[in-house]
Amino acid sequence: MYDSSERVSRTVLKRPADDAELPPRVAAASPPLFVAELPPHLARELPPPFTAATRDSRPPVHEPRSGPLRVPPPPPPSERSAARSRPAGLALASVRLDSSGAVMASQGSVDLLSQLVAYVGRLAALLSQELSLDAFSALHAELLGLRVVVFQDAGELVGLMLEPGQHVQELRQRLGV
Amino acid sequence: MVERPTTSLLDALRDIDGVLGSFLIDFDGHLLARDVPLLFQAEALDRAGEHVARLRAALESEGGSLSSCVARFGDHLLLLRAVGHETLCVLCPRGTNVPAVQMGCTLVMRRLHSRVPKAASMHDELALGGSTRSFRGRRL
Repeated sequence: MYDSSERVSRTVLKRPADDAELPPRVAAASPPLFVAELPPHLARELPPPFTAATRDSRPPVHEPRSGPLRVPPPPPPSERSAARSRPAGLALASVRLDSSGAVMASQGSVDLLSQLVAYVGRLAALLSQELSLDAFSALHAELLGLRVVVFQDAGELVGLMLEPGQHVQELRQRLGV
Repeated sequence: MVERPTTSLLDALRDIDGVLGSFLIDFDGHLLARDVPLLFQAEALDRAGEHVARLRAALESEGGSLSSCVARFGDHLLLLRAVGHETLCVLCPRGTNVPAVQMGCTLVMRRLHSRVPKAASMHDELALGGSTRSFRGRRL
């Protein structure tokens, strides 16, 4: 689950032109450079890196001279979308829950917030049935010196605890609450 | 259950374009008054009241008392205004002038508490209990 920009970076990292300079046998045995990004259990299934016995006399093209090339692994998609839905630096806490209430991503102290979001989501679903309304979309609550926002996002529930301010108004406008 | 003066107070909310109806519940979610179309059955409204009360309790579990809440269900909004132990619930479509509804709710709740002080004091009695309402043998 990587986006297109990461696929581009992988393509760049693979450097096909360098492969062309290697003997065919060596090029086929070379692992891709993004192995470091893969989980260990997937990385083990890849072909082993070629050894000194399989190299020719030239310096290895795929190994950078100043150490292994490392690309920071991308965050999981859930974390990326939580970050998108959170105004940077303004949320006291945020949490994303799947339909079973499991925490997919979180930021800040979310022990109570995750329970609150899960419960609010359930109550809102019941209210929509009882009042014959459409499915729950979003909720904004004004507490004493605190704002709580809960909304549905791609089948998951996102909960934010925010300080009052202009950013809350913008978020409310976007969510229609 | 439904007090006539209270219901007429709720009726004032319909002055705002779009408001479909409103109902008032107490701390436990019991229906105190309603001004909603007959489309809404009493049993469904009772259950909704209980769930709104639980929603309020859950939101207040973080420590702060709930002032107001807007929940969106597709093209409809459910606005909650909490004052004391009562919660006023207003149903309206999206696009309704929400600030106007909120001001209407504030006025309704203010008039409600000025008209039925007994209800408020009764709730206080239940919430605070006898021991915290006396000091050195004197009733506060």
